[in-house]
This record gives sequence, C-alpha cells and structure tokens, in this order.
Amino acid sequence: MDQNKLEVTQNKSKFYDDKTVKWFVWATMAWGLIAFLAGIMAALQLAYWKFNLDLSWLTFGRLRPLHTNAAIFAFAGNAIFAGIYHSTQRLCKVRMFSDVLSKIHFWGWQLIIVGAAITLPLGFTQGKEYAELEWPLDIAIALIWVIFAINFFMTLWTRKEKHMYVALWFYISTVITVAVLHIFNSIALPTSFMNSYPVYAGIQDALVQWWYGHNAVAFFLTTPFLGLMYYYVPKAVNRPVYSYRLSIIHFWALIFIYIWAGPHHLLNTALPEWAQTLGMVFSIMLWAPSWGGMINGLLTLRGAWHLLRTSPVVKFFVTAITFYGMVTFEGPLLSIKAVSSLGHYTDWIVGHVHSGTLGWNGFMIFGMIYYLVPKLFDTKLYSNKLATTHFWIGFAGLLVYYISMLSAGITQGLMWMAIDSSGKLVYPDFVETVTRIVPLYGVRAFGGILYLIGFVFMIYNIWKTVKSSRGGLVQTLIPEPIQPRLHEEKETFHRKLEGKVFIFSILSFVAIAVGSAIEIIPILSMNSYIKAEDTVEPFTPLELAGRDIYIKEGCYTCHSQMIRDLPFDTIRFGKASTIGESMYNRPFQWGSKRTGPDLSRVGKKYPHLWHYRHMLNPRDVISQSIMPNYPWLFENKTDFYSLRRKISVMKSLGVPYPDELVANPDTNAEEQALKIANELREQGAVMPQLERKEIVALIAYLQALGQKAKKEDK
Amino acid sequence: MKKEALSQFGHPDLILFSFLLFFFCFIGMVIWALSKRNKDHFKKMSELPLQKEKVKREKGADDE
Repeated sequence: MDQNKLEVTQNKSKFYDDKTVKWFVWATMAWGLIAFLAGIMAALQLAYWKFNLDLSWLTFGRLRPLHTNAAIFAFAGNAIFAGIYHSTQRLCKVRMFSDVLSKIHFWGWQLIIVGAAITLPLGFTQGKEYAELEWPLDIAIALIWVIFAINFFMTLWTRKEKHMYVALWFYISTVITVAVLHIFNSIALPTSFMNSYPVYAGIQDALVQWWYGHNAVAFFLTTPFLGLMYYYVPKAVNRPVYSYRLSIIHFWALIFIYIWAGPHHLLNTALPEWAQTLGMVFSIMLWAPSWGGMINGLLTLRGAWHLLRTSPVVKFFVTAITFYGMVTFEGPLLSIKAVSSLGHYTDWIVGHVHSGTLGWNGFMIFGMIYYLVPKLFDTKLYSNKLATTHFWIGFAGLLVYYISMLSAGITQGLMWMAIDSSGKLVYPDFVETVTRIVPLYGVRAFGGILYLIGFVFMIYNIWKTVKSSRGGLVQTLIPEPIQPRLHEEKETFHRKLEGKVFIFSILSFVAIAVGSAIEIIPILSMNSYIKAEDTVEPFTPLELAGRDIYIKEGCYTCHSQMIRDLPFDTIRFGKASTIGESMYNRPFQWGSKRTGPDLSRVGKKYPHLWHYRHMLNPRDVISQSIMPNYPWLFENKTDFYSLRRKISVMKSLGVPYPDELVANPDTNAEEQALKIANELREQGAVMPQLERKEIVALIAYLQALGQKAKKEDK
Repeated sequence: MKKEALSQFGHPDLILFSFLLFFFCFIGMVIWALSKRNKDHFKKMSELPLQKEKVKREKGADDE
C-alpha cells in the first residue's frame, strides 16, 4: 500500500500540476461572466433608475461593490492564479510544492468569493472601496493567501532551475505586498459576527485605505500581469523578451515607486499638502518604468509583427499592452493636482479604471486563456475566426465604454467648475450636471454589453476546444533545467540574489516598506498634533446607527463627504472640509465619486420630511433625480440593542463617550428617534411606529453631517 | 495654529533619505544591468520561457 503511494507520488512529480491551472481557468470564466453581468446591471441602473427594481439587495449601492470585488478578486484573481501556477512550474522545472495546498488555495478562494457574493448584496460591508468584505472573510482571505504563499515560495525553494526568471520576481512582489496591504488595511474591531469598525479613523483611515486601494491596482492588477506578460508574450511569439536588462530596471523602479502613489486619490482634500505633493511627484515618476515595461512588451514582437494579423492571442496581448501604456500615461496625468481638480469624483476616473481592467487585465487574460487551453488539452483552438470576432467586439465595446465615460467625466467636471463673472456657479443645481450626462450612461451600458458578448463567444470557443480534445487534460513531463541549481560558477551580487528566494523577497519587502512607512507613520502620529475631542463631537448612538445604514446601503458609492479647498467646491457645498471633522469617522466616508452631491454639510439644510420623502422616492423632491428608491428603510426596524456593543467598541477605540451613555446607548437612541419621529409627524409624515424604523436613524445621521464641529472650529 | 502645524509637518529628512536611497539604488542597478559582462547571462535568462518542453504528453490527467 505504502509502496503504491510512493510510486504514485514519484510518478506525479515527473509532471506539472496542470489540473489546478485548469480549475483556475474555469473559475476565471465563470466569475468573469458574473462580474460583467453585475457591471452591466449597475450601468443600466445609472442610465435608468428603475433598473434598481426597488430591491434592497440589487440596488446600485450594494451591487457596485459586488461588481468591483467580482471583477478584481474573482475574475482577475483566478486568472492570476492560473497564470502563476502554470508559468511558475515551467520556470522552476518542478511541480507545485503541494497538491493539497493547491487544492485548499483553489477551493478556499472560491468559497471566499461565494461569501462575498452573498454578504455584499445583503449589505454586510466595511464601507471601504475594494476592501468591503467583513472581518470573517478578511481573515479567510489572509489565511488562504498565506497558504498560496507557502505553496508558491516552497516551489521556488525546491526548484531545479538555478536562476529565477523576471516573471517570478513580479510574482514574489505580488505575494508579499498583497499580504501586507490586506492585513494592514483590514485591521478592525468586530462589534458582531458581520460588523466591525476599523482601528483607523478619518484622515488616517483615508490614507491607509488609498495606500491599499492604489496598491491593490499596483500589486494585484499590475505586477502579476506584468509577470504574465514577461512569460506569455515571448511564448506566444516564440521570441525572447526584447530587453532583459530593461525588465530588471522595470521591476525595481516600479515596485519602489508604485507604493508611494496612493495619496493621488486624495488630492485637494484635507490631506496635508506634503503628502499630496509626495503622491503626485511619485505618480508622475511612474511614467518612466511603466512605459519602459510597455515598450519592452511591445518590442518583444520585433520581427514577428505579422502575427498580429493572424494570431488572436497576439492581437489580445498587443492591445492589452497598448492599454497598459495608455492607462499608465493617463494615471499620472490625473495625479497632477490641477488635472485632478477636474477629473476627480467624475466618470473620467470610471473610464480610466475600466480601460485598465477591461483593456489591460481583461485582454491579457483572454490572450492567456486562448494560449493556455489548447496547450493544456493538446489540441488546437476550436475557431480562430470566433476568437478574432471576440477581439473586435470586445475592442469596440471597450472604446465605446472609455470614450463615453471620458466625455461624461470631462463634461460634468467642467460644469461643476463653471463660475460666471459675478462669482456664481453657472450650473448651481447639481442634478443638472447629472442629467446632461445620463445619455452617456446608456452608451456606456451598450459598450459593456458588447464586451460581454465577446466574452460569451470566448466561453463557447473554449468549451468547443475542450470538447474537441477528446482525451481531456494532458500531462506534461517536466524537462531538465537549462542550468541546474547545483551548477558552480563565479557569480556577481545580483546573479546570486536572483537565485536566493529569501533574500530577494526581503529586498522586495524593503522596497515597498520604505515608501509605506514614510507616508503612513507621520499620519498615524497625527493625534499628537490635533486633538479630536477639542475639535468635533462624536455621533450620538442613533446617528451612529444611521451611519451604519448609510454604509450598508453603499451611499458612499455615489456621494462624497469631502469638500475640496477649491472655489467651485466651496461655493457649491460650503466651507472646505477639515481634518478634524472626520476624526471619529470609522470608516471614513470621503468617497471617490459624485453621482450625487457631496453630503459633508447637508445637515440641517433640509427639514426631516424632505429626507423622508427623498428616500421614499427621490423624484418627489428632485424631479430629475436618478437615485434609487429605498422603500425597505420604511419597513426595517433599527437594531437599537446592537448599539450597546457598537458604542462600547467605539469607546475602546478612543471616542470619548461618557460612561452613562456607554451603559445605555439604546435608551438614548430610542429617545432621539422618538423626538425625530414626532417632528416628522408634525411635518405631515404618517406611519405607525415610525420611531423604530431605519429611516429615522438615517435622517438623524444626515442631519448631523457638518453639524458636529465644536463652536470655536465652526 | 493647528493647520499651520499640519501643513509644515513634512519630515523632509525622511523624504530626502528615501529619495537618496532610491536614487543611489536605482543608479547602481542601472549600471549593473547595463554592464557588458552580464550580456551572456541575460541572453540565457531571456530564453528561459522558450525552452521546449520535452513533452511526452499523456492523456488522462483528469482521471487521477
């Protein structure tokens, strides 16, 4: 029996583990379909509000996080794992370290995605973009990532090839940095099984979140894809990379510079000027390594450009790399403060990120799948013609998407900025700047549908390819290494370094840690400069309950709470936001998009009844509004009892609630709710047990916005 | 006062240190990458993905 096991193991170790690769490819396609469908639904909801269907779990604020998480972590994530598992084995000339760990990684990751797909529509969210998942799922992500890391690093450790090809460097930096980003950004104190408050507040939370958010783009959607580019493009055109030298410079420059660029998401906000400038300068510096990488990828086709006419794989790769170049030009451009003042909060940013995810990531993934599947099944692609059709439909959809969003963003940005000679806003009604671009939302949805049609062609093509292979997945024998690890030769420093996984990983970590520490530590020590208790009053228990409803409904996906220190922002929304105002905000709610107006100072601007009618049907008070209805807020009851735990956690995080309030927050909240409900009744609202409904808590929160600054700061 | 303290709070020494660290590491790495003695090594490395898999393909991996 044991002898048999030994033989099976020895036999297995002669072959690559392509079964795991196959699973990840299938998962990529399945989740890709869901991510694209959710995206199209969200796009339709913006084009026509009735697509929200008055269903809580399908409304835009809950669907949008599902779409982004599915696109990034399910679609792109599974594709990254497929590519890494396939190429790492071949570059190391060894099977993955452990089949068991590979299985745990695959199924664990899929379970997390299923968990996200259930919890996000139900409104369980931490309210931080691309990091919405609640703490149990965050812990699961960390555990599964560690299992992946062990499997990956042990494969490198036991490899037979002496040196590590540049693609592996990019993978190493990905594995290390994603772990660091996820763990630091997700630190939170639970208040219940599916609720928690981050340990960071206000500006600290904002900086940590965008350090994470930006570097999720850098180290989840860029470095692993560059690794895939350095492996699969040479394979597809059967030529070595244009310049290996350039790839080394590309790698070290990119990972050092990228980590600094997070603050460009917070330009012109209350973030200290020095941090904004640092983020802007490093973002502009990114032009050089990014374009170095793009040129290196494109010139790998030297002498093989004819393949662009005949090979769908090459078509996808070349277009993906071109989009990488375009996005990495546009990103630094948007990071210039003057350009950001126009583009930030508009659909230009939406267009920018989609040209990255659909153009760069999506097309790299499609090229990789069209290359991989026929190899894994030892057959030919079912139809090159169909793949070419996929390319052109997808490309057309991508262009329609990007151009419509660029036009919408610049149009709306210019309308926000327009001030006449008397110093007044030319378009004082915010909704006017929205209705002007709503037709472009329809065009965007059309672009997304085209992209999805192309993707469905791919699923059919791959299915037919697999079907035509007859024998199913093939086993590939592991060849002898080009240069075995035991080979002795005189080596230079970097050449030794390339062969030493541990030291290489430490240096990669240092490269990302320098920028992270220098940016984040001063902000985390800001408490010594500014005392929250002197500046702002904490939310009452009812307001806190309302805030949690605001986060649950994903209001931050359309409304900012950060008035920039720009004339057109302050004329429209009021005094610029200060650091002190959000010192108790866990999580911060500065937002990144204004489909609706900024809400920093909406408190006391309208009577309670205005908010009541607005949440029931926004068109009752703003006829052209595209906001969804929220009828369930008038049915669901506020969970007063949970405030005991929530206020207690807030107190432990440093919010100065008096002991008597910590002892009875629910009673306090019920009293305030009754007062607001009575005022609503006086204004004309008719509803039994109104004081117990979520709408009252939400109104309490909205009316508190901008009203919490202490007198001297007001 | 608070606003002024925050706007001046730049840790220029740390920022300068990190710039210099990056600059010198970068220059060192560029010199190393461009040095002629690495030419053969880089050529060998760049051909790593192109190595033909001495494939003895066996059907039936799904049946394991």
